[in-house]
Amino acid sequence: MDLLENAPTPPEPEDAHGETSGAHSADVELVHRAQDNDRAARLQLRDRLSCVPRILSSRNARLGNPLSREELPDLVQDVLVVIWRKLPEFEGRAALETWIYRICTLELMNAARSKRRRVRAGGDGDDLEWIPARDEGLPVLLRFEGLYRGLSRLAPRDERILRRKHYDEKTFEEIGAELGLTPSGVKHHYYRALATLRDYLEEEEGGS
Amino acid sequence: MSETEERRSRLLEGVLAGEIAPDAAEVEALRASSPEFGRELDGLLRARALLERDFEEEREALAPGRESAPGQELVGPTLDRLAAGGPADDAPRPTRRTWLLPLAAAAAVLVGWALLGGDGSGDRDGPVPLGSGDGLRALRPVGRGPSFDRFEFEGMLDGHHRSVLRIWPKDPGPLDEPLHTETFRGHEWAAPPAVLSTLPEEIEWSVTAVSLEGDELGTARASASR
Repeated sequence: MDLLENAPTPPEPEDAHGETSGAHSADVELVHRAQDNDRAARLQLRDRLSCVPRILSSRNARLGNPLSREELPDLVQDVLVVIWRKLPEFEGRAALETWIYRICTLELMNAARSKRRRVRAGGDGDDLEWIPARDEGLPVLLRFEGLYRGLSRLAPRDERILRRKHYDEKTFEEIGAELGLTPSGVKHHYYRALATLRDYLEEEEGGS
Repeated sequence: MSETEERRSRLLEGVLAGEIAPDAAEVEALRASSPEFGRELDGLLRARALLERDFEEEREALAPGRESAPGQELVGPTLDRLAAGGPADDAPRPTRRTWLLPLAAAAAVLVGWALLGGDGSGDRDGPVPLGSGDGLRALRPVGRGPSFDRFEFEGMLDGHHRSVLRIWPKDPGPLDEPLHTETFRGHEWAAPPAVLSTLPEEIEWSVTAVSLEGDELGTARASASR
């Protein structure tokens, strides 16, 4: 058994203010090593990517199963190809799984749209009328895409504060201790980040 | 910063931080005197709600314990192939699995990384049984009818399943949060008046059969109006 394969991800190194562009530098290093044909890194990366089917299945269920169980394996492969192509772009702004999750969500949406177009073209799409198309005022899809785009445009520290607050469910005091900020400083950054995010969301919706 | 701006910022930060209630008297007073403040607060609260929901869904999707998701067994072979320099535009499809496995094995030998050492990792569990629930069909309500009082579907199930019903308004449809979600046993569910009164005139609904082990067995969906 290869011990490296099941080794836990090393803790991410951080500077005092969480200002590095790649806060998850251990993940970035893993990706680089895997791309350099480091066998242990590739095994680790494969383990990390094994969350793809789980994410797609969960997201698909959450959306009311626009894709059938038989269609999901195809999408798993498509998404793995997309991820593989995009790996050089991974900057470590978020954990690898978060980055993967975002790709999975967007690819699932695209697959649902394609299915609708395909079935409609075949003239037998009555049962798929409920899968909205891009041009039909997709509030949820726009929200997903706007949210992801907005998060990726935030200053790394602001994005991290939002994630710590709402994903990790940390208090402002805990986040402050982690980032070397006072709780009121964290609240100020938190407010600023939410305001920026809101602007992006409104921009997305206004442009749709 | 003027006193008004300071008060405005303090209230916005306080509400967003959860320290001041959105309907606190001071907030309501400023909302009444400044529609712009109200709009800004509503926009921020909406952004926060979206963020909370999205992160909640991400946590759910990444939660351990769902290793048997469809396509799990394809992760290793597909990555082997990509690592071996296989054409990314022509990824092997499950419908072409007859040549997928030899190809993946050849790639693994060539590259010599993934399958060497008999590592026993969890992504080669083999195909997942589809279960007996595929081919579920929605029976009622479907199309126009007098009421949504009973939701019913059919399909070959062994009885040891739970059914998850989700109901959405027709517009915007199922990509939004369901208006109502109900888990029940069997093939039909009678909607109580309290739920019926919340449903719009046009709905979309789906029912997913789930095995005792948590595997999805199939889904039926329909639209209906009353």
